[in-house]
Amino acid sequence: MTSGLHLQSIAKDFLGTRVLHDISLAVTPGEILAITGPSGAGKTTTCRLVSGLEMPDEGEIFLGDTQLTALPASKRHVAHMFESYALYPHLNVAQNIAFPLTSPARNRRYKRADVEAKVVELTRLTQIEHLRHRLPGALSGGQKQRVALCRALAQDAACYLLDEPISHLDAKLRNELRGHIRRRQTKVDAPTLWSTPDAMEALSIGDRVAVLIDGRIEQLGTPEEIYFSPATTSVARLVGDPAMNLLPGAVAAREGALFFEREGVSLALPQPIAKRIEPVMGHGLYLGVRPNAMDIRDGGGPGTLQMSVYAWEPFGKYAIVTAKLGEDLVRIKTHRTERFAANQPIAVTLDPTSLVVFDGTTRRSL
Amino acid sequence: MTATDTPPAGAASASPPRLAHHRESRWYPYALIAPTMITLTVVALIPFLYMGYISLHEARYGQLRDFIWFQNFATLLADPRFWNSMWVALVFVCIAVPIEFMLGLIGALLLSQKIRFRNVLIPLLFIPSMMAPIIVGLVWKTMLAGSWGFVSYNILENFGILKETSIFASPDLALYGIIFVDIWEWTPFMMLTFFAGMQALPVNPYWAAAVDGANPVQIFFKLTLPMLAPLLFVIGLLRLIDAFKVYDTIFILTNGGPGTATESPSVLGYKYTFDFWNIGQSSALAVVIWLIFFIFCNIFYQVAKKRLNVF
Amino acid sequence: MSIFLNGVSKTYGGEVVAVRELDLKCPTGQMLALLGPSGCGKSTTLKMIAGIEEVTTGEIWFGDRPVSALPPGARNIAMVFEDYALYAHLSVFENIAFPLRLRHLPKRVIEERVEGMLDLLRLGDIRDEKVRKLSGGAQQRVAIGRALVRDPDVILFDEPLSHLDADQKVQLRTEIKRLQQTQGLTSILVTHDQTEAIAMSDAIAVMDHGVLQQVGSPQELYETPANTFVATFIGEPPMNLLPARLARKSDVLFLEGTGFTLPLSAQKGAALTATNTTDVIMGLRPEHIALAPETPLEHQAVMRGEVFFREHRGDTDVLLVDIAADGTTARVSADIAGPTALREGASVALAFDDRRLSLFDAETGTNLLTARAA
Repeated sequence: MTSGLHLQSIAKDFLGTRVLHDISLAVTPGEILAITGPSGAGKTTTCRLVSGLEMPDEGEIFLGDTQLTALPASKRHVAHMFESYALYPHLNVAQNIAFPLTSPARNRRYKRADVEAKVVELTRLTQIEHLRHRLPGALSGGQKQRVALCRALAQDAACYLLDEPISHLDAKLRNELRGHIRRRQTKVDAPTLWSTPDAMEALSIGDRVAVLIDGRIEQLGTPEEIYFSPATTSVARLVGDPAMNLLPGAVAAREGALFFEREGVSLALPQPIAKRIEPVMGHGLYLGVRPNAMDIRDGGGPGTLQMSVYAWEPFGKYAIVTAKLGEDLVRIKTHRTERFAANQPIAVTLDPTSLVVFDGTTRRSL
Repeated sequence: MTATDTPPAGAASASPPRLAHHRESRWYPYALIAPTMITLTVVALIPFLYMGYISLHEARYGQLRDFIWFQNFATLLADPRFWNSMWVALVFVCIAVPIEFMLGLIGALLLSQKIRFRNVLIPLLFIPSMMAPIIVGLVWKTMLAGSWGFVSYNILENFGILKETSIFASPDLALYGIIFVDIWEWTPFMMLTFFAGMQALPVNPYWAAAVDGANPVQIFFKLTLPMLAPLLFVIGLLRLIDAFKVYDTIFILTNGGPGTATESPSVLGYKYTFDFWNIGQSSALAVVIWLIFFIFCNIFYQVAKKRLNVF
Repeated sequence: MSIFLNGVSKTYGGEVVAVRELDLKCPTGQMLALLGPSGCGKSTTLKMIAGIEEVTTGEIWFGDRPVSALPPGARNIAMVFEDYALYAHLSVFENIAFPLRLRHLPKRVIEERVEGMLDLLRLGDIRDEKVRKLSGGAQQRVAIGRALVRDPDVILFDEPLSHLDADQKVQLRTEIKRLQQTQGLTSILVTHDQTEAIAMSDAIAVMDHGVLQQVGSPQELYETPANTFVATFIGEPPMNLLPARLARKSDVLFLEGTGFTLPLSAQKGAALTATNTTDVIMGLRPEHIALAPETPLEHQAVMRGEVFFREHRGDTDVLLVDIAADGTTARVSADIAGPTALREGASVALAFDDRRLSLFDAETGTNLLTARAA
């Protein structure tokens, strides 16, 4: 007896092009799995496969012991919130939310009062209670999105698919709703898939996170694993605010230590990293440095990198300095408050403990 | 309890019911399009193929006789009335359509300005294309009728362009009269279509151009025209085909006369069928017209695809 | 070329006021951001500066030249739009060349200047592509090229980043900032995103309902917001606004709120002598809250509560904490060094002091610490 949602080696083609490759995922009831990736990576397609709007070309999908792929969409009992909202234009907000509960296709009947209570509860949660009698045509994008979200959450579904559920809301409401939805969804006895292009949102909302790039799962793990040990350079480029800097270079051994070398740069690598690098000695590699693992120091000195300021963006509590290292742009998150002028030379120190190294050819983490 | 043994109620709200289930049946998509395909086959494809079949037969007075290969086509191509009808169509299309096009474009530009009474004007512009062509023909036949027609009496005769007779009775002028009526009928339609197209253009490029200091002429030629090109192209093509097939206006105004001065291919086809009762001949004519369109449209389409990035 | 707005108002149909009595100044070579929610009048203001909308009352000056009555083409400005507003039927090169071609400049000059722009914006590789096939970021770079190629006195950015993906946004933001600084462009940026405004501009004018709320450097707005509107609009995550009371006990002024009591320093107390209000709103930035040490320091207040949600921000965690006391609940966000192991439901104690908090009048919302005594 298994429980939860299982995707087993799913592949999907569109017009002869493979858009999803070998997708295997398992989500347990009460768990939120966040899927993140750039637009076009296959997040929406994955959701549509689970809800039955698309059929996979290879692989199977199970929900508990039920083989979903053998069932039509209407029999899957999946609540799907569409990125495009898909509201019924002729029904008002309350009717839209109640629709899946009152539809004759359902095998359970709800009392009218229960339906009403659900609608009130959810519209209050999403702060659209005052709009309950409006038609979708009279709503803004953010309001429509909240109606669609209510409609999905109102159902007692066997699985919830939330496709970019809060992308059009303002930051404050977005944060509140993340909290509320996490509370609800970790209590229901059904798995939740949450798709978002915002990697930081995925890390915040998901118990685990799947990073989907070009139709492949690049990494599947806890938020901490994704943030601290990105599996590939593509994942590293996606995660963080701003994302990790990737510096191409090579490794050289000198005086018993290993050095990261590139034009004008020679950086001693700490022992634990050096160990892992040994197998790829002589290859090219990428050094991953998080923007907050660097700081700007007065004057030069050994172990510092010489860069020139490209742009300076002060944010109040910190500033982001974009600097040129050779031909590459590097972003540094600093707490220094003074102004940095374009082309000003700066010396930058690295925190060696938080470095990540990637193989130059496979682009995988070492 | 797991999600499996008792799937809770209420699910998949927004998916069209029973979609994926039937998708597994290979025939489902075909079943869905079958009604349309059957209707099209019965009312369009079968008559079309039958027409091709008739065109290869000796068929007179409603009777299908011997199979005669392409003899109907040979007769047709040897018939001076066929070549005359082609010439009539060519003159008609080459004069009427460009004028309608230009006037339509100018009209649409005027409509786009902030003019007063636009809301009254626009419904009025629908009138010509809403009227049945037969009525349009009758109205203009009356207005241009010799010395007593309202327009011909007041204008044409006073300026000495025409004496006594109707413009439609003159072998030299009848075709131009018909062209005039066609322009009257279709220019407002072109105008409204182009106007609608202009309203749908994005506004920001216009602001960008205004800020860049473009004058109205530059804005029209460098912005409006290129952005409108796909629409202009499609509407132009449709009007071209439609004009080539002109029938009802001519039928009521001149019935192809005087002599054969305004005998368009469609009118000629009518005459082959119902005056001479030679259905084989008229079928051959229809096939030739179809071939002309087919080749013409393909060339047009290829050019558009290459030049305009449409389709 | 500096920009001045003197008492500029815009009304529609004599009734709807889109912009009210706006006074603004943008010095030569600087970028001024107009920031506010949708419908606050910032776009209307920009259009009036561009000349696309007419000014109802008031005047706009570019340097010593009044421009309110000039058509857009005569103001020597350039504009960059949210949706790029490129000419979809033209190539990258031709789009940038467009404003020059309008002026019938010699072919050689056009070629030279467009090539210069292509280099500056690193568009050389795609110079002959049709623009509609490009990514949003590349399209916006083309639009910027088209704006700069003519060497305008003023360049206006209308939400230039709002249609871009997150990573392109960050990249182009830096790009524009650098161009603006290195080329010394006098520019106005309209945006609803405070991050963009802070990152890119020298000064920010915050607007709401057509009225200017505050204008100043990003740092000023961050540290001393004039009212609660500016306070919540500037800063990410937004400032906490918590109802509180001022109470005086034996010469020390205390701030009492949901679950905390904080003695105010003499300095803060002095700034508050002019006010006789007791009901205030305490403004506390999430990044100025920390997890409470075992024994709280003097002058620190502690709030205890339960984590409602933990947002993962990489190097920091933003905790939404529900503080329940005296029958009311307040939700406080705290931006603390992370990642922490704190998840929803965990009990936490948050500490803050009075050094960086703001106090607002509960009724009017104005900042009590900076407001001039009336």
